[in-house]
Amino acid sequence: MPRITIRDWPPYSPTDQNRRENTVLAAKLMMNGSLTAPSVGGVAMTEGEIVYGEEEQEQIARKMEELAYEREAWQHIFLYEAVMARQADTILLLGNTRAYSSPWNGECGLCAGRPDCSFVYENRNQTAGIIDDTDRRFDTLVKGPLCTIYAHQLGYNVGSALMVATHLYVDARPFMSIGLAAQKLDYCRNSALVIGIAINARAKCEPSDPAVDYHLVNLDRAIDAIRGNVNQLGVRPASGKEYRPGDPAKKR
Amino acid sequence: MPLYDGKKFAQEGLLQVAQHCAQAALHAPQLIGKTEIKMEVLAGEELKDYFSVQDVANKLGGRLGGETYKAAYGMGEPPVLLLIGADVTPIVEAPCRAACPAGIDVPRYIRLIGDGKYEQAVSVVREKVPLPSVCAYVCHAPCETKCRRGILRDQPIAIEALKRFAVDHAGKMDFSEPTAEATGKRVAIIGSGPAGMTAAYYLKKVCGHGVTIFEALPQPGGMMRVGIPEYRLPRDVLDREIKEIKSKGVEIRTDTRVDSLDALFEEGYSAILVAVGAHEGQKLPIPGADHDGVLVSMDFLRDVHLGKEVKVGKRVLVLGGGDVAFDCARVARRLGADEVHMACLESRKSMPADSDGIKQGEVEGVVIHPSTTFARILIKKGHITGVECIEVKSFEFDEDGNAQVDVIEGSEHILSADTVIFAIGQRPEIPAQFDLTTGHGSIIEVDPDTFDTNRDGVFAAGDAVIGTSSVIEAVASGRKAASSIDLYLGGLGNIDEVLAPPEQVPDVSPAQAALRQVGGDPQRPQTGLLPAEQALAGFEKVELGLNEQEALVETTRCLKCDQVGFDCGACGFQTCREAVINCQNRLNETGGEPWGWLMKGPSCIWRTVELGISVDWATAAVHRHNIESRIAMIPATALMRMGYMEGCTLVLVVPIGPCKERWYFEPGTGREDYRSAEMERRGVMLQYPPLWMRFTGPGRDMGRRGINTKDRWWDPPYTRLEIIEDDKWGDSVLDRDYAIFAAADEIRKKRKRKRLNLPKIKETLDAKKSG
Repeated sequence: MPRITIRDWPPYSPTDQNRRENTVLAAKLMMNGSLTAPSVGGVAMTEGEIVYGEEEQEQIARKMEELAYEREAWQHIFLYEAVMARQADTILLLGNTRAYSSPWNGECGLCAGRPDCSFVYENRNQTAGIIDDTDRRFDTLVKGPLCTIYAHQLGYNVGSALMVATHLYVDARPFMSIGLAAQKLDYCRNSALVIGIAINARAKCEPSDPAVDYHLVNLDRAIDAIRGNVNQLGVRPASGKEYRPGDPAKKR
Repeated sequence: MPLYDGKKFAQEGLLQVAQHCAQAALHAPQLIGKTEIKMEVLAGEELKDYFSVQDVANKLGGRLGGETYKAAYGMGEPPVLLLIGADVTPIVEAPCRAACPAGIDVPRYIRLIGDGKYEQAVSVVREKVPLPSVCAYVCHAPCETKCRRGILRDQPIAIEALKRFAVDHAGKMDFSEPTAEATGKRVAIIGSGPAGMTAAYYLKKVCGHGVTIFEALPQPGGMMRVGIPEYRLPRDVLDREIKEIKSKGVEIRTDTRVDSLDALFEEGYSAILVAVGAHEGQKLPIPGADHDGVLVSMDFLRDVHLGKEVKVGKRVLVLGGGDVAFDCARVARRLGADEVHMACLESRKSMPADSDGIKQGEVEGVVIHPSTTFARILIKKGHITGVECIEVKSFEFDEDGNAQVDVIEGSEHILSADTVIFAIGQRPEIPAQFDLTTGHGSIIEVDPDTFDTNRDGVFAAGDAVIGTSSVIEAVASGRKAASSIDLYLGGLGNIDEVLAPPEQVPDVSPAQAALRQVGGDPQRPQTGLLPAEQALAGFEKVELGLNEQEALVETTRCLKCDQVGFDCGACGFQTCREAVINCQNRLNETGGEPWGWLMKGPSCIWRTVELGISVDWATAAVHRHNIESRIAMIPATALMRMGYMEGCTLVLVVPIGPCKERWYFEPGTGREDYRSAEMERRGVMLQYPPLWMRFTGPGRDMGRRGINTKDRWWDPPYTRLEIIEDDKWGDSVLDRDYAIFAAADEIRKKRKRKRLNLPKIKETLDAKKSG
């Protein structure tokens, strides 16, 4: 039997749903935009996934919150941005499939090793330059070292996707944290580096101007808190007597 | 005939397109917000310089020849190039470092102090300042005003106190680094203050020029000697640092006033640096100012510090509110004045003096009368009895720098005094026979980039150029002037030094251990002061400095703004700190030029992605204008070496305008010899590098083994591969690499940019060669 989730206060109301579904269309076009971005040497290396749905986004947000407490340095960024992952209408994930297992071999010297790509090779199991990427273990957030120029390439992909978003007039912002959490949940599983783009089509774009302690003080939590305190605010369930005679405004 | 040439009109419009691209790059969304995008635009003649460097690479015909062909070939000759780049190393420029006029790597020395490596911390300071102890004792710490901890959380890190702690606890240091080989050129420096001393040190030690300093006073040190009181800068500290500079071979002639620059040129000096400081104290033109008993700040301080007998009355009034005024007041207290008052135009909050100096002055009994102006000095029977003062409502300086004061009517009052000292500013004394153009306040007018004066071969630095400033600003101007003088004399203009050894990550940081001992949330420590009675008894140093535990704990408050701080591991290091240390060590190893074959590593992965977003937005903006464009990487490497995009480690070129090969091979461009048919006929395409390199496997240095395609790769059998040993493959690349550096350096020379350190680069590249 499929998992059926029922919740008392669904933010996915029918009008919400319509708006959110449109952002999926935007995400698809953004994905195309990212594929037509300039590429290093014309080699294909972009991978993308679109995450849509309350459960799926919640899963990513919770993973982010889980990661937040692993290191002090990550706490602030992951906690704040988990809210944004939850509030996004859609998430577009973009990754680079070559940065880990197939470095550029252009001897660019951008990584921390000698300018001959040996830094990447030395840190992998490889035979004659063919890297074994079956070792899935990791002890850092990203399994480095990555080929820097291919990581740079991911910037072009993300940039193009964001440029499409501006042309479509939807709000979009790239997040390293969303990408990293999604990667841990096996999204873009062929990619060494994943960036998440949160897409929103709301009048108020919260992620661009977050409040202090944003993981606690954000629009959804604020609305929820008001609902939780509904009795204290004097708004009672519509049962019993008519509220209009007791309207404080009339008394004034 | 058209009114305007349409083609020309269109091409001129490309500059506007470049402007739109630049806007787009700056407005691109940020990923981590730690990448400062830099841009430059090239057009016209400068493009020819690029192709001249590219030709050098092409003609050398290394086995990777095809790559540079491809770069030039692909880019063509578009009318406008937009360079976009950034510093994407793991080292982020911290605000404290950016605020330091001399560019001292503040986070690095704080980190080293925290690791208990005090000598290395001082070496980091010495890399930018040859007077580290002087700087530690008297710097006004512009770094602290920009400290992010102070802005975001509580109080700034006590950077100056930490530096002072490091120099006091560094133990015996080895300053015996070798001096550069003598060039045979001689430089005369007039003035032995911080600017002159700094320039002398670099010109002699790093550049190899003979240096003679001419000092009019009987002792060297300039304002450090005769301006700054001993209780702030102990003379043994100053003497030790001057001795170090002298030990490098700098000659100092004291009691020698220079009256003519021409005479110095006649003596055989190839260049002259005028660093005479601003030693002429000023008086206000008010009645009574010319009385014999009225003293002037600099004369007063100079006489005291040179050991002359100076007498002050029992009640001294100092007019002025800056650091010099406080020095005068506090010195007067030490000379026996019972009461010392200070009066100044500024309000208490806006007094220009250092806040610590103000506090210490008050502790020593100096009474401050802020927002006060002076009408006349009262004299009775030949003796000063006081100063008539008026309270100030507000004041501002006009275009000529004169104060326009709005006084409170009826607020006239008298501050009684038997000695009055003017401390309202100083200016340089530039002899007319120097024939130098001076501006407002008698300061010498110079080119702000080169510190070059109106006379050929004459440079100027320090307070004589920037007006009354601080030691660190004088040091910074001395550095710039030394670099310019070296360039003028045919050197590289490169005065950077690497003095600190490679840094290691300690297993246990002494700072963390100290923090555990103390516990809690550490606060900024208060520097201990000598008790006022003891301080007033002589000229003993007043600030006692931090103890070891205070210093170690204080380093833990640093927010480490020089690190991205995400510890993600993408770059290959477990923590950003490790990455920063690796990057710094690499910078040191190569003398500040960590060149790879194409770009400069190491890099922070996220910063490179962030730069990628900006570059993409710039190219997207070109496409919005329906104009041809692309992103080119390899041409950017040549342009970086030519001195463009200084400070960037990853640069991309966005050619704007027609940039297909037809431009490149168009008859009449002078580049017909690089036709593709010609290339193919000569078999150059055999070495088409992406194919070669894609199969090279673990890189040339790992066993020098690769998999070569032995035949034309497009002919069957396509998959014929052969494992080969090739020791010389890498060498040819390195040879060509050096040739590009050398050609690029010629362009730097032509464009009067900072030169490349070719000998060092050659040494680095040769060390990588086989055998």
